[in-house]
Amino acid sequence: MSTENNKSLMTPANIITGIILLVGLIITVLRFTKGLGTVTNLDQNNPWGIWIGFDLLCGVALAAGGYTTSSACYIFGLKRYHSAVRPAILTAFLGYALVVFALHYDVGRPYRLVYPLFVQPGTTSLLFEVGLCVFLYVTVLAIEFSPAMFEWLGMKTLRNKIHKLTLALTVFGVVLSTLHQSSLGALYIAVPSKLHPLWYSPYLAILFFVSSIPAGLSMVIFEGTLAHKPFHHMMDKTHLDEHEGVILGFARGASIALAAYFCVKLVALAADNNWHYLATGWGAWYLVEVLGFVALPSLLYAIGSREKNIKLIKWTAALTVFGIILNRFNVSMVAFNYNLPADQRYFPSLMEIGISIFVVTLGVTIYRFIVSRMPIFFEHPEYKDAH
Amino acid sequence: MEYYIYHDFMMHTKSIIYILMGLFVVGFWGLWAYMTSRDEEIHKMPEHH
Repeated sequence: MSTENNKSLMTPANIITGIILLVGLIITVLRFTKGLGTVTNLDQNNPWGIWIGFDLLCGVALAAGGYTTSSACYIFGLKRYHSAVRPAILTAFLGYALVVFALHYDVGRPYRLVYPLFVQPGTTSLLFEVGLCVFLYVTVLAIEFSPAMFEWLGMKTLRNKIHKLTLALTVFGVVLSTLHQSSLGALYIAVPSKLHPLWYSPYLAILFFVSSIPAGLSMVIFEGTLAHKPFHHMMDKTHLDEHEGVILGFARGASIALAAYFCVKLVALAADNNWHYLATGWGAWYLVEVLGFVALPSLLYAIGSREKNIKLIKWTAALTVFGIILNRFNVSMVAFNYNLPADQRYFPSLMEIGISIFVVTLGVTIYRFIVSRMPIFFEHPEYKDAH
Repeated sequence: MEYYIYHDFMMHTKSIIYILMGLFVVGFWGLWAYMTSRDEEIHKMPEHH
């Protein structure tokens, strides 16, 4: 039996995962023993790099599937999306937990994590608001996810007690998500001279929040597509039957949300009268982002939803996820410090990229561990019809 | 276009935004009508046995 297990563990995917985790651990040791300067290209001009731009901003945006799916199911009463709730909550929980984990690499001194909240709260800082919301929302997501864990562990009483809190937790989660998705954008309102006018806007908070909705919906489709093949054997009939309906419904929602995001982008452009920048090189790059990764996916989702073309919707979800990552990269890195000479611009070091890959791989590994054990893609036999 | 006072600038940008908002309303209606048009066709289709 043990030989069989050993054999099954030595798959190419597991070996690559193992190598990435090992390299990540080595860089982690370097970061915490030798300091930021050893592993990053950060400096006084560029204090925030890919760990904030990717791990934090993209991590939070793409984890928005948790609040969008649970609010669709429990607040708007769209019970036909119920099978998508647990995978979305799990992705959101892991996403946020890894955001907090990855933040340690930037901030350092993990033992001081509680300081900004409980020891020396800087209540006038936007970062305090972000920190407080993430802390509360990770707690809410942990509680929202816990019934799956308790079902797996056979702790029926505790599971039933927490299950009764579902609606309250969903409402709390939506409020917290609205607050901190927007406050992440609001952080960049503080840098009007550093961020290019095409990306800088007093509406950044609204732009970040509105864009998180299609990001979350697309991530649920994208993640569902990736998980469908390897975890097909873990999915029950309800999940498989509802899968297509979830994709079509979410595509319709994402199309409208992307169209709304496109409108707010145009309003932001018009409010500052920044039209003339569109004729510059930065303008071309802005148009690539807005037309190629906001307007186009909105249109493709509409076509896919109308024609019931699942394949097109799945590809569009990937395009949207890429577009949201591109937007967060543009705001936090590409268009940030745009007026500095080229040699003073920031480009992440290999070790910074290595840590980001390490964090994503860690998330995928934990996801695989949980999904192959707990009732995520199937309803536990003892709790069928209990929702 | 030159703006001599802030009021001129606000008048211009606000006017543009109001025009855009009108276009957005028509756009959203069009997008929704496009997406749901097949739904109606499916409902209207006679059942084949």
